Amino acid sequence: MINIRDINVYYGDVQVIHNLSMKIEEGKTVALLGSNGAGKTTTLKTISGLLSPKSGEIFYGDKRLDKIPPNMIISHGISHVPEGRRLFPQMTVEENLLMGAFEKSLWGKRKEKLEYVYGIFPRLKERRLQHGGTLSGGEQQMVAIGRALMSTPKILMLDEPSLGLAPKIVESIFELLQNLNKEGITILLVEQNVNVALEISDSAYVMETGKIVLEGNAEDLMDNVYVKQAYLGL
Amino acid sequence: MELLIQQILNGIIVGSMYALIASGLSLIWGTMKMLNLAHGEFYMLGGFFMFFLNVSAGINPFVSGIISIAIVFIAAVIVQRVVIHYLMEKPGWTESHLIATFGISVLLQNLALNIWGERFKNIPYYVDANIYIFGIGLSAQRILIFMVAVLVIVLFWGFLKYSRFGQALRATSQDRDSATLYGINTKLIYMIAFGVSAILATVAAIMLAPIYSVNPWMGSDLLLKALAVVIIGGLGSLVGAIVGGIGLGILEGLGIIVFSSEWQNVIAFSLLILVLWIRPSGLFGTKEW
Repeated sequence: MINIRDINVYYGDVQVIHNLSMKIEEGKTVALLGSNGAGKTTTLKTISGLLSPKSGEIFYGDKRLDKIPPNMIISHGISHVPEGRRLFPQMTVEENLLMGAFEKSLWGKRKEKLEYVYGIFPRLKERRLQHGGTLSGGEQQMVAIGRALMSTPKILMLDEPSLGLAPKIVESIFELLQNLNKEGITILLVEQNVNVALEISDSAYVMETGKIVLEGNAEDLMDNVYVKQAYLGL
Repeated sequence: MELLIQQILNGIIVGSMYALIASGLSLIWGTMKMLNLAHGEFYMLGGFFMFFLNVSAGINPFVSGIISIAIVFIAAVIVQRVVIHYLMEKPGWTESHLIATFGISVLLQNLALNIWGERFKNIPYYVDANIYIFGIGLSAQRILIFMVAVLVIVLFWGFLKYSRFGQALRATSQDRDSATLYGINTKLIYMIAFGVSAILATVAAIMLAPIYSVNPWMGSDLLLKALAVVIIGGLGSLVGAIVGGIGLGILEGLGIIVFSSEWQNVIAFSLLILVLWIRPSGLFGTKEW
């Protein structure tokens, strides 16, 4: 579905991604793992067009994703839940969600989509008039995911959804991701929480200093000595 | 006593126009994090186009006003696209925009001076009557000014709060990357924001021109005042611009009773310094759009 071929990405003169290739197949959950500063967030940002690769290609089906302007990516069914949720802090929960359906073709259906998201997160309906900045971390993550779901994504990319959240909330978010995947949404999950991420993923890539150092299906990686040592602390 | 109430009413009326001009400045700050030092020149352009359409061509004030607004909107969008747009993408934006907008301001002033001359031009009152409220006489022109200010501010607020585009504008000002991810063309938003801010200045120019006069420098004095207002009210805050504008208007009105009208700017900037001492972020300074 998404096929990344040999991309190189720079911040100014500094190269942060080196010859990265990745495949995300339709209907799967793919995890992108690695420690802080490995280039996971940069990879997501490059897929969603906020950054452009200096060389290499990103294919989405047979379309060149890296040639599409960043604000048009979402209309192709790719939705990105950014690191640190990045809500609109002075907008209400409902306004935040509605921005997820800003795209012209979605705006007409925003009321139905809103009901769908409130169905998943009843808590957000209670808080609909509260400002994004005043919510708890877990609620903010719900809004961030809800906002992404407003756009009826085919692919949902999440950047560290577990960051700073209590284990119980993390568990419920990962359960939700599994359900969304069963409904047919392809998921690309960036995580530092390797254990939990591998549990719900089909396959995974491990990054280090801007390169993929390991890839394979999730079960194999769980058993991989390297992963155990580096990330699971075993 | 009557003089006191008269001056307070006058203060509210003129202050409502300060509020309009300051809202535009504040909108630009809120969305692009820039001070538009050429804001006064859009006000000046608005005044000149109104003069030519209404006085020279004899078109009725309402139609002239609409055409002036449209012209200045387009001019502002072009300025944004041709100058600001390129600077925003480059390093040094926090300083470069000040120099650039100051340059645009000087350029537009001198263009106006060379093309239209230095003679002060007058626009007659749009409505010629006096209205008495509780025994206090006010010209209908001033009442009209206030009504237009309220109408425009309500429309502007409604645009920001309820229109799809206004929501996108607020979203962009609060988190540009998130806005982009969710399909908002932030470059277009910046152009529109710049244009809308110029519209607010033009409306103020159209309404104030009959009271003051039209000349190439009419904008610089008002820009100074609008800057004082947005800093007093809190940069980037719409409520701050409105409260600050009307507050300053009233204070100036009262100041005229005590001092003379030459002291207006002294009052404005004393208040500014006072606010900066006590509350550096301005009265409503922490809220974003």
